[in-house]
Amino acid sequence: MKELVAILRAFHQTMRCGVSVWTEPAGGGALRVVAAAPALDGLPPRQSLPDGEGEQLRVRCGDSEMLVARVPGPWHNWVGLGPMAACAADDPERLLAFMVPVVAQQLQAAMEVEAAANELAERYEEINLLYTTSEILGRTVSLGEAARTILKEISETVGARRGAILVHDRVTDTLQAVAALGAASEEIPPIATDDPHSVSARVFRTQQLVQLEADEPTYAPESDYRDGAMLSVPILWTAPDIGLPLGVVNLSGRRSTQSFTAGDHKLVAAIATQIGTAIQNARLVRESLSQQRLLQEMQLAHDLQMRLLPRVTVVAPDAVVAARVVPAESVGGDFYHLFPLAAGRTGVMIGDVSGHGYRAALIMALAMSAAAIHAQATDDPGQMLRAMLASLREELELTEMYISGFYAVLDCNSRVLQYANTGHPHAFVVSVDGAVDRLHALDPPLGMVEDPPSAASREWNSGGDLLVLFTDGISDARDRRGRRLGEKAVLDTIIENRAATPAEIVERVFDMLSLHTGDTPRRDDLTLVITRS
Amino acid sequence: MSIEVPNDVRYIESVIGLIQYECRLLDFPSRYCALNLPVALSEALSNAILRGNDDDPEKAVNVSLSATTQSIVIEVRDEGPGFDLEASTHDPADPANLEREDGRGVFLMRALMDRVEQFDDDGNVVRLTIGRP
Amino acid sequence: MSFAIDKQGDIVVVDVEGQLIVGNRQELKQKVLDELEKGGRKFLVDFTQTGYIDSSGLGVLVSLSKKIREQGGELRLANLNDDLKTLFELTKLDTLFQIADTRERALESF
Repeated sequence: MKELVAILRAFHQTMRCGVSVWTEPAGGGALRVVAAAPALDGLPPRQSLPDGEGEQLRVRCGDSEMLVARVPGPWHNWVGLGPMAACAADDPERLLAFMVPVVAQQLQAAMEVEAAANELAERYEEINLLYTTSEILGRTVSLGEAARTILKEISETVGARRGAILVHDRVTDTLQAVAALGAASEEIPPIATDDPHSVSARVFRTQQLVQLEADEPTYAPESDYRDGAMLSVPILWTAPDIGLPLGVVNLSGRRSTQSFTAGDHKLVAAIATQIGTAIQNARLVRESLSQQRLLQEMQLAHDLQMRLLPRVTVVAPDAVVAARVVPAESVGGDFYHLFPLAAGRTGVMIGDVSGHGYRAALIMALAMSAAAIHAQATDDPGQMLRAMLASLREELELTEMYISGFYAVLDCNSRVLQYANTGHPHAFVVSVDGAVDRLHALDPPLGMVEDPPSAASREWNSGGDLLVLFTDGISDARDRRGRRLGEKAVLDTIIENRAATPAEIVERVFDMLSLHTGDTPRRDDLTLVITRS
Repeated sequence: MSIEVPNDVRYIESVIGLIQYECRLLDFPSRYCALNLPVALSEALSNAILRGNDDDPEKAVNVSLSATTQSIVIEVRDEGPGFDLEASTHDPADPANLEREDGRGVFLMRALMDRVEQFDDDGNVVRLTIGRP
Repeated sequence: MSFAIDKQGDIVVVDVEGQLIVGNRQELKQKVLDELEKGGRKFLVDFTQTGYIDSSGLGVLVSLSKKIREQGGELRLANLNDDLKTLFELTKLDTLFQIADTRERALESF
């Protein structure tokens, strides 16, 4: 959303008119601000917002009025211009119509991730869909494709029927058409940047906008998209301290005989800066494509992972659970899951998928979905992990990954804790008197051996005992000098605070952990789940 | 990465398989992945299972791997009070020891790793370190 | 992981498939001792398909070699890859065993 924020800010500064983007969460819920420049005091009432595509409405927002349009697409997003009282634009309807597709493009990627996560959480058979989605998201949109879209939008906005986006080729030092309106871009000849007759070359060199009037002569290489007056605007990439020229936007063939207005100049200049960013990004991506892909994969995997984790309230009132997952910079495969079962029983799971990156996150998602299905089918933790292994075996073999996992069913009526532990190193029951009982691995991690997981049970002091589960990221957290935090430090903190609520205990442990690690970068996910039932 | 396995020697090969996989992913020399790490780790694991945990099936062994581009560090943690790593070591260079069946474990660990350390940290830990050549 | 036994004339050939380590060395020991019991005296262990060997695996080879010699027989080894050769050299066991480069040479040597 960083880019959206930057675009809104640039818009606000250039057009001297505020702009905001709102969203209504899927499945309902309160309207919230996605981004706004400047910040607004309030939100408009949901029922006042337009629902039809292309419809623009003036709605009350706090003490002022805003001009609002719905962003097309399956999601509920709106763009609002204003407050109108402080908007200097003389044609806000046209500006809003221009902004809607810009915002739509920005929101799409983010929304697709969210939709994919929802899909995944619902049905794990559709995991392949996610592979596809990630491919699409990870693919770099080609410059030509982006340029064509932008040129089309911008031409409609300023009423130009012809135009071209020329991009500087650093090898040949020429300006080459990547998109054209009213001509085929591949037939437009390149223009040397030192060409003394070309307007485009001059604009590129001077980084200054030029407006050619209808009666000024046409230079042959620019004739394909020239019809009457032509507006030629430099595409700049502005980084701190430098403005790097990357190309030129030419617009011509206005419907009315009038020349381009000062408002058009501003608008096209603002868009040209955006194109500049897009070109620069495309170049950076090309230059480090693999790295970029990797980062995107990781980001996607992260987002997915966090979205899939259940809220701790799903097992209320039978169990009080506090859970926290702090993802590492490189994605790990930590997860936890909670299941309200029949008759006062609660299922609590923690797991860690070996390996990193998108694949680990996928396996984790798969594991969570499989767990959700099988937890409802059996109350026996051993059988549950057995069924999970059966569902995942092929994936695990294929990817050479494994899952260290722990699953417990707490029964607060019969006061029994049943558990299965396949390779999970840190599972404990801390009792009221401070005694710690380690719930050992009964089997190696899922995917490592063929043997079906087994289960064990112990008594469970309802309301008193704490089930403490954490992943190795916590006990292995290093301080500046490379020393591990250690399991004992974690357990000591929990024992000391055992009378507190799970949420407070989790807080204490993470406080202690931050004291230990300081700003040392984390290498692994940190997951802690504390349950009382 | 850290996993816990039940205290049973039959899991040693699987654990080593995982470490070999990581070793290859990290692009360490194939000898390290095929000989140095597997043999040293097998020694550390059998020590932990049979001596540290006294072959008690109720116990477990924790294996953690932390790797950088420069080195692989494996820690094998058992629940015992610690044992004397050196006590049963014999020098294979001494002809008198040639026909002994035992006593090569710690020698091999040291010969195949850059560093072998033993200390107490949530249990008895043997740490094996090997750097990229 | 298994030990395949094959008889080439009066020579008992054992193929070590996979690892020879603490978890399975007893199996090898038992198989060879059974053959020794049945009268076998010439033993060849072929490591073509072997991954790695730990100290207990080496220990079993030493122990078997002793037991076979006590019965007037001999245990020879073949097809050690470079990694395994290094292991035998490190432990000086290359001086205890007769090691052939190929199975054929080992068979001929008896």
